[in-house]
Amino acid sequence: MNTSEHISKQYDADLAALRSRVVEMGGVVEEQFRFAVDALSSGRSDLAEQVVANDRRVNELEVEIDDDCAHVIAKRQPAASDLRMVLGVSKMTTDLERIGDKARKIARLSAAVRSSGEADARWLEDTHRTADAARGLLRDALNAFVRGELEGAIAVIRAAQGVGQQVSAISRSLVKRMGENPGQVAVLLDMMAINKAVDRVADHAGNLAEHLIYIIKGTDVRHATLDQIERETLQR
Amino acid sequence: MASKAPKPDLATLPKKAEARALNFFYGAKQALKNISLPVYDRRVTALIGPSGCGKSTFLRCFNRMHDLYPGNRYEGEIRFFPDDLNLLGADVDPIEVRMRLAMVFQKPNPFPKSIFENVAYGLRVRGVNQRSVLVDKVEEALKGAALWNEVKDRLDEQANNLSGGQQQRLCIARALASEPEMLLFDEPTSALDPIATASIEELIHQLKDKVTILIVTHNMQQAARVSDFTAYMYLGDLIEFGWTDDVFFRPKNKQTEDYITGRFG
Repeated sequence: MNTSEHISKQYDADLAALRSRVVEMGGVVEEQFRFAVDALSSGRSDLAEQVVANDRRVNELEVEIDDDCAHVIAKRQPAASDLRMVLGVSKMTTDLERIGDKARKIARLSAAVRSSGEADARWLEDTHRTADAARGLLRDALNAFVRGELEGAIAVIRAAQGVGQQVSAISRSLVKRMGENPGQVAVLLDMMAINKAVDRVADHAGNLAEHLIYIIKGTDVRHATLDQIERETLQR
Repeated sequence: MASKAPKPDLATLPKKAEARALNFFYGAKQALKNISLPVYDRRVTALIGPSGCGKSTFLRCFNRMHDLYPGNRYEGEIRFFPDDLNLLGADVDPIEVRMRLAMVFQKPNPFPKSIFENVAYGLRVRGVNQRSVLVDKVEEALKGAALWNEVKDRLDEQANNLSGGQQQRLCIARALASEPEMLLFDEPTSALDPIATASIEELIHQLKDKVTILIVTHNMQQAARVSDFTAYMYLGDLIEFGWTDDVFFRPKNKQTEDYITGRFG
């Protein structure tokens, strides 16, 4: 990221505001996700309700930040790293909003899953562990964004694959339980949906890291393998 | 990795001109420092940079404008193709050069003559006086400059009656009438409003099928819009040259990046 100042201080201020708002949104979304997982672990329905209610704020932030991006483009005609910053921030808000949706989904499903009696300690523990890992990725991606760290972004993309593997293992055990216990398929599907939501949060954190690479390097790595990303971003 | 249709390999692109180790001096003051730059055939190349960077000085070397003032001195070459002529050669007639490389200036500068005579001027200078030939050539040039439909019924009116944007297109028509191989634009729209600017930019886009264009502009968005290649200059040095897409999206040089993002100061 280009950190030197523009001749126009107001332009600097506009771009700084964009950056800080997307970090603010990241903070809100991270908290939403943490509360949703806590609601599931603790069975606290008030937390779950709070997450569902707060999702509106996440949606508002997405719209507001996108609007800010459009205004910067219209007024400043940003070029090069500034243009990539604005486009990247706009894409980041989309991924953050999706993470907010996943938090809401987990919160909504938590009550039914808790009351079913199928949510055993092992599953709750595994789910909490993968969710913590996914949340760590989200935090790392935001930190890498704040610091403009390419290596941090690549580490997030690498780690997101590990979360995916953990979630696959949990899913396999749920499928096995469905076979053994056909009467509980509905709630087991809800549990699987929760695990899938955690997996998607990790994916979105990986997307945030990809947007960061685009902002810093101008390289679009959205559909590249990890090997390609490392080769193309670290060499130049 | 996502990528657009690959750009042609620069090694395969035909060149219309090429500056080679070009130095230029206004008396004792060196204004261009060892500039080597290709100008690709029937492409638009934009020269950008802050005031005093040498972009207009560089442009003016191409049609030997500097010859008009004593004390100016060139070193190096500008090769002109396909005949591989050195435009700066002592044996090369600047008048002939200016027929092949026509200049359009910042402010429209029509002659105090009729619209028709402005366009016919270059042809008359070359001894073309046959009315039917002049009529055909003037029409062709005015059409080429996207001005014909607006002036065809008033060719005998004074050129000064035209609007600023029309006057600039008239100057382009005047340049086109001598069928130049290359057009040199020195900030051609800086005195025009946005609508007239857009029509000149559209014209540049149409003209590049036929002629090679070198344009100096202070308007970076204009360089981004109209050019295929961009050269960034600073204090007489060429800092970066490349495809405009690359220069404006992912410049290689930090100085270029700072200039086009408005960080230069």
